[in-house]
Amino acid sequence: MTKLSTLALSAALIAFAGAAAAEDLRIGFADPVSAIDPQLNNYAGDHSVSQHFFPAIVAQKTIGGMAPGLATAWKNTSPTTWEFKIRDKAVWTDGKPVTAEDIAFSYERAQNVPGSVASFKSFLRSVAKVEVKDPQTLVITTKEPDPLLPINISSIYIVSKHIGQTATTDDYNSGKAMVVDGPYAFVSYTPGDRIEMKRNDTYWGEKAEWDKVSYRYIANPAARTAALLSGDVDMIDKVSFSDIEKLEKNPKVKVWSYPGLRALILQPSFNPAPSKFITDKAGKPLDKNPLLDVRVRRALNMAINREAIADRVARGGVTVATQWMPADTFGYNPDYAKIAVDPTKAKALLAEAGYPDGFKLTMHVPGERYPLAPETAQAVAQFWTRIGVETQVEVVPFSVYVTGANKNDYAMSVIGWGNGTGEGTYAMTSILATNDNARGLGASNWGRYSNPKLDEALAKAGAEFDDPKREAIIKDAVKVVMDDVGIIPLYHYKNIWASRPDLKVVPWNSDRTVAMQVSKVK
Amino acid sequence: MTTVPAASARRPANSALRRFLRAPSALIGLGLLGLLVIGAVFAPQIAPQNPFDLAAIDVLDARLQPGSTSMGTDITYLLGTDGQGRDLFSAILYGLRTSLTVGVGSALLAGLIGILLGLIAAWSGGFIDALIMRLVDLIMSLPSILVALLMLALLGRGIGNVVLTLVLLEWAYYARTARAQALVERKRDYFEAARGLGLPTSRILLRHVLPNCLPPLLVIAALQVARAITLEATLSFLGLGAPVTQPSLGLLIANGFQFMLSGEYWISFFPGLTLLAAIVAINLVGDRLREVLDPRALK
Repeated sequence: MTKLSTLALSAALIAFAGAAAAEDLRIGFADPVSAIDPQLNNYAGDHSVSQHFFPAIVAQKTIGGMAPGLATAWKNTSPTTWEFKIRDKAVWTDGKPVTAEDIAFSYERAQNVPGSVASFKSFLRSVAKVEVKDPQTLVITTKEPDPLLPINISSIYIVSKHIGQTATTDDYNSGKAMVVDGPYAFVSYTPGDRIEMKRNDTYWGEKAEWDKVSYRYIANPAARTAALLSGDVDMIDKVSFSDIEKLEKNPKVKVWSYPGLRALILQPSFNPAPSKFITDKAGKPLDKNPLLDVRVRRALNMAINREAIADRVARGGVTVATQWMPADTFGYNPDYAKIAVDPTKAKALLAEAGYPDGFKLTMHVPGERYPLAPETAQAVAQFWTRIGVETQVEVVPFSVYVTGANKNDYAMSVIGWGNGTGEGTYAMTSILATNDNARGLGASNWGRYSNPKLDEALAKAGAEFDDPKREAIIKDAVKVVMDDVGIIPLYHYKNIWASRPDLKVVPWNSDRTVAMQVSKVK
Repeated sequence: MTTVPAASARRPANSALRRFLRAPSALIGLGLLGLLVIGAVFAPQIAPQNPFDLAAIDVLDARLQPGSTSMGTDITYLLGTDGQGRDLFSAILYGLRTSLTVGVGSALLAGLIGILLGLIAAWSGGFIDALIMRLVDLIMSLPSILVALLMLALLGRGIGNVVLTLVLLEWAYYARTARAQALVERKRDYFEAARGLGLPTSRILLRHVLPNCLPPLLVIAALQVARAITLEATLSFLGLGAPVTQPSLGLLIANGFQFMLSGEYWISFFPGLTLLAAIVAINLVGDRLREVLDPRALK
């Protein structure tokens, strides 16, 4: 009875909302927004908001590749110089034209906004100088050849020079400095609650679909689902894995799930000293780290039934990963599309490596950082225990975890890796390259994996401008790492939105949540 | 004449037991508690599966409905399975074991420390009395869940640390009651007589004063067991108690509560029901114990 009346009520609410505000869109989103100033903090929520107001000069396509933004075309005049042609029709909402001056100013400002705690600086680390050749031409010189420059600057949003020169972050937040050139214009911002926007009729691109957009912050996944079901919002992002099955059965809701770039990966420790988290069955420490033996790593890798985890633990909210990039992306190696599950062979490999009775291992996982990670770790522990590697799962708060992981204290750590650039070298740089803090390599290589062949491939890929050649180098690197089991990839999270049934949601820059990705079904 | 002391010694105990059993609620509580204790003690014999053995559970059997049969083995999951494929019936029995061990263990340990400190305070008076009793006031004025969270954040999770935390929080209740009771007993004639005989302090306190203080302390112990079980469940629910691969009742509830709305009610529901039954049973017994042992209630 209660269920029936709730259903009827939500149906009525949805119908009412649909009739009353046909051209308005209300989004319930999960990532906190720290400011409307597009250059203050490099945060996921801030990125999503900025995409409405301040397009970058190039845009990232959803699965790999670049699309025009404020720049219509770009080319290398030498390996270290890039020339960008800026659109001549682009204007700010105050009527002034968008020029190369604005872009040069934005790259300057993005590197030193007072009060920034997560600066955009790293996206511009290879840039030596930015020059304005004429109002429609921008020339960027890099310190060394950098094929990833367009991807990197796709994350820097362009503000106007004439307003931005004197504007502070507060001026953007209050709306005083919100002279924009994106598909939507600013109406109001209530920190921690919502951002209201309206269509920008002077936008240079395709006319925006919605008259008004209300972009509301709802941190709790259950509250987001409830808001959608009650008709408070028309669309939500980051649908909780536990709600997928329920929502898919509900005819008043449509679930949109797309393969995503973010991977969950295990990093075995390559510490030469024996780990206190690996012991023999009696609990006595071993005289060496068994994970240094490739046969042990292979055994662990092939013992895991990834399909079972994807289906039973993640309820279909993930796709099985056999390498760091998901299928059909730049650098994915189709020769390594499957890892055969073979516990018998895994046991044989362990025996061959000198561990016929296996050993005891403690795996560490942060409690709240990566969705599903503790549950997944327990399932992995089951598979390993069955081949004789008795595995304990230690769930620790992220702040404690990241300190331990960074010091390579743990025998087995877990990392959620975003693959934000949409291509394979980002993971190679940060989680696979030999750790070298001075050169910014292997910053998240928590297992301290080190393979000269991988380092060499990374250096080669970094200097290769020909895309097919660069992709071949990355594919070879996949072979090197996966034959060696330098990491144990488990799955890629899907990006999941849910909406009213009369809306269509397409993915946007992989996992951004924006009004531009939502349209009415005609 | 010789039979008189013996008879008078037996009669109150007998009548207390008889009076205890006169209340139906106490009988129900005792019966329920007996059932749960038997289940917990003989868990390895009763449970179809060892839920703490990762090799015995299978993630392919995850989230099966009550009454389903396993795909790999011939186990029937009477109460269904949790998100890792653990048989919930087995997990509840083992979880109950953890809960009761923590509850009884911490209550006993806290009782030992608390009573000893209470007696010392009552005996010594003066500065030591003041010191111990201000410490008691301090502990009792702090919200227990906050202290527990802080302790476990410092010590790290684990059953041993939970017991330690509970002991720290609970000893004060025993100490206060033990002291108050001992102060009353101090004014009795037998106390003066024992002192007059020149008996050693420890003997007077432990053999003469303590037995006479016991009734109210027993009531406190019963209620503290229930409190400890609740607190352990709360801490495990928040992810600070039992290790994830050895779930207690609180952790089982935590693992399932996000699926309540998806229709998979059993993961949280049955452990929750068991926890409720255990706490109600202990409270019923404790309440009746108080009615029976409280001299004022006799009138």
